[in-house]
Amino acid sequence: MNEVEERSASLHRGEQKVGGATSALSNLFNSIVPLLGLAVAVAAIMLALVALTRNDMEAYPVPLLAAICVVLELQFVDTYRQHSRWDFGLLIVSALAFLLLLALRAMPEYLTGLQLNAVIHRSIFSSIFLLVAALPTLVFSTYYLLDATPAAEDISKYPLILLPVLLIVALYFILLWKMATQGLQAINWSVFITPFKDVSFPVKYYILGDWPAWKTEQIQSIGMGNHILGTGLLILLTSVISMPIGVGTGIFLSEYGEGRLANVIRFITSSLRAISMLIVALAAFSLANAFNNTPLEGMFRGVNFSGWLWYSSTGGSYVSASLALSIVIIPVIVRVTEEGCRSLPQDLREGSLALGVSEETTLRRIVFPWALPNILTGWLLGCAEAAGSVAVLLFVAGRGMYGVGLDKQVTSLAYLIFDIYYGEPTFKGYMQFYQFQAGVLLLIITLLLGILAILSKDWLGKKFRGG
Amino acid sequence: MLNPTKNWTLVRRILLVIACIPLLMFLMVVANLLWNSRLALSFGLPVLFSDKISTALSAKWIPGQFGLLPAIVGTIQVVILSLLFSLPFSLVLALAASEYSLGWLSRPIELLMSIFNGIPDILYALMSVFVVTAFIRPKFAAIDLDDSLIRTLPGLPPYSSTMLPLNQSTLLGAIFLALLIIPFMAPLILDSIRNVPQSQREASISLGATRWFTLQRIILPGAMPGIIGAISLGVLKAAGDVIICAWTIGFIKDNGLPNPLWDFFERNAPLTATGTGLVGGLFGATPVMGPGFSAANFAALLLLVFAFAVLGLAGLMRRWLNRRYKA
Repeated sequence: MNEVEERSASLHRGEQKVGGATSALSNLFNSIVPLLGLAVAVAAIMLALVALTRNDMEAYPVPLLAAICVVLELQFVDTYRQHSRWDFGLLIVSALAFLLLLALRAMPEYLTGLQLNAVIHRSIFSSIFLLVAALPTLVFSTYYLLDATPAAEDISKYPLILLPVLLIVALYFILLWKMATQGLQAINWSVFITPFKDVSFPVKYYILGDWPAWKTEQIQSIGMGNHILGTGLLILLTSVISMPIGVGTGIFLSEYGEGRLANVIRFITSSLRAISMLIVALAAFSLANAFNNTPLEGMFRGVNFSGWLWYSSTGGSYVSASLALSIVIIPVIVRVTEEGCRSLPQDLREGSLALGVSEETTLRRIVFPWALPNILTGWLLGCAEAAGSVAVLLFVAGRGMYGVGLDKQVTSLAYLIFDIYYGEPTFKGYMQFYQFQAGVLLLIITLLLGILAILSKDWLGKKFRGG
Repeated sequence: MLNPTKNWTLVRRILLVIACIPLLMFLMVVANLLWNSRLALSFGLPVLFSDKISTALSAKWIPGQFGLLPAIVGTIQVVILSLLFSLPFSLVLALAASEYSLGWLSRPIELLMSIFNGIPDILYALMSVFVVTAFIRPKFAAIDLDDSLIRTLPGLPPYSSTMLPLNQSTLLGAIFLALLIIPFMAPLILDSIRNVPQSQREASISLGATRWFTLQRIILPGAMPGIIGAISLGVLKAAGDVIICAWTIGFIKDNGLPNPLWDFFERNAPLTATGTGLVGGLFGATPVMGPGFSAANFAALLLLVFAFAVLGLAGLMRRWLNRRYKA
């Protein structure tokens, strides 16, 4: 009887089918314990995450830790049954889970001590303990579910990598979502165009006896119109100041960047990115006050209107704030421009020079267009940074009550949010309701600029450089 | 490199002049700090490094006390804590985008990180209220216990009405500094992981090593110099941030060093926030160029020295690791 006939005969008797069914059954039987472990571990991780924000889940961690303990011991026996080896890692994790269980049982609901300034709830420890016990269980169960091959060892590590990623990205999204809903739940559109004013202005002049007199009136309007305009002016002015310097420095460092001076400049621009914002804030304050008692005082300190005369404000103007902000933004543009110029193939430069084109024209027609997508990206990133920077304005900014202009006191949307939190109580009372609304607007501006930066780097890069 | 020779064309000279402007700006910033902190330096270093600091906002204001020691302790605390929170996550994000990417996960993670990196620190500070209500209050502030019950708990410091300052603590500050520096550090770590030569990876896999083993023994040691660089920049970003610290920790800690020294449930304001508080200009008040301003400049000078120390140390470590890795 040849092979084909034999197979068809066995198929006819139904042996193959029955055999397949038994092997599937035995597969299922073999994977019962790992599946159980997987289920317990997933439940423990979910409970740990829920218990991070709730105090009323205290009944569940101890049974789950006990279940992890039992499942790991079962897995220990099952491993010997299937693979004929003792995996003592399972026993160690099981013992660890048992110890954690005991510690959790012994713990009072509220922990104090060590003169710590807090009353700590037990659930924070139960979450941590559950995670510590459940993550190895997850890894072991996946490993033995996939028949303990080397490939299974790789796949079983995926939860360790992907779970934290999922968690942290979810945390960002939850926070942003909560801020967006908080800001948009009672949005008031007229606030966006009304400037904030809480100031007494003269409304009527008249002569009282021999002297001029005036009747003042407290003018109040609640809004963030000038803050939004101020953000725009700040972005504009900062880019006007920092773009030429940043792009020029970037091209210099890339095209002529050899020698000691260039290395010093490179080091300084890269370390300017790492210095504290407090340093820049103090620089802004000093810059605003550097021209006191000179004709430039108004331009650098900003002017306010007191009802009958313009006088220097206590802070600084848009000019001084933008000059200080460009300390932060120039390094960003320099880095991005240098990157862009360096990615230009050397052949193109040499080809251009060999054809008799001057250095200047080569820079203008070959190097600069090549780096243009990067420069645009750097510009957009710098704009986003200028829009979101508060620390630089901390000592110079005001509330934009006297308008927006080069020599007016600086203000911005980002500063408004901080001002609402730490400002004087009356201002807080007026504007507190719109704090999250301003936050959402700032978020939209910065996200828009950030997404445009990504797009310009990807799409324009492809278009300009031919893919 | 357009022209490596020393041929000083006009455009080269113009570019050199432009390139000197950032250098000049840096020198002016440093000179400004030194000049403004001369008054603080005249108090003497024992005054500046004591733990006695008084703030114009507190009830008992004793002029002439500008001890920055609590602020230094606060900076160290908040930096270590935020690094503890952020390093595992940024490492894992970088690994998920490169080694364990499942093919399609790499690009979304990169995009998300660059978008989150663009969110300004003021918005992270604004979001802190949600973490306070959802996490800090139920877990650390005993919010659903009444005062008499809290008073009976053993081991607490002398009772105060707000045991944990409900909306401000170093822990909260560290959480949000971590959220600030995770998207900053992850792309840097990702770059350094991608720069490990592909041939080493392939050699390890072809010798029968698993991917996990390759990660442990080949990729992480190879990427370690880059990871050190990323950590140093992240530390400087966390130590230099003003807004999140001022919002979630507070301005000046005027009751001495924290007790115990690592108590991160207190408001241990770091150097940046302390400097900000010393200048004043908050609560609608006018910034004053007095001794407080000078002490703030000295705090900024300390931060500058710290920044260069960290950068230098990271550079040394990177060089050492590179040499060891190549040998």
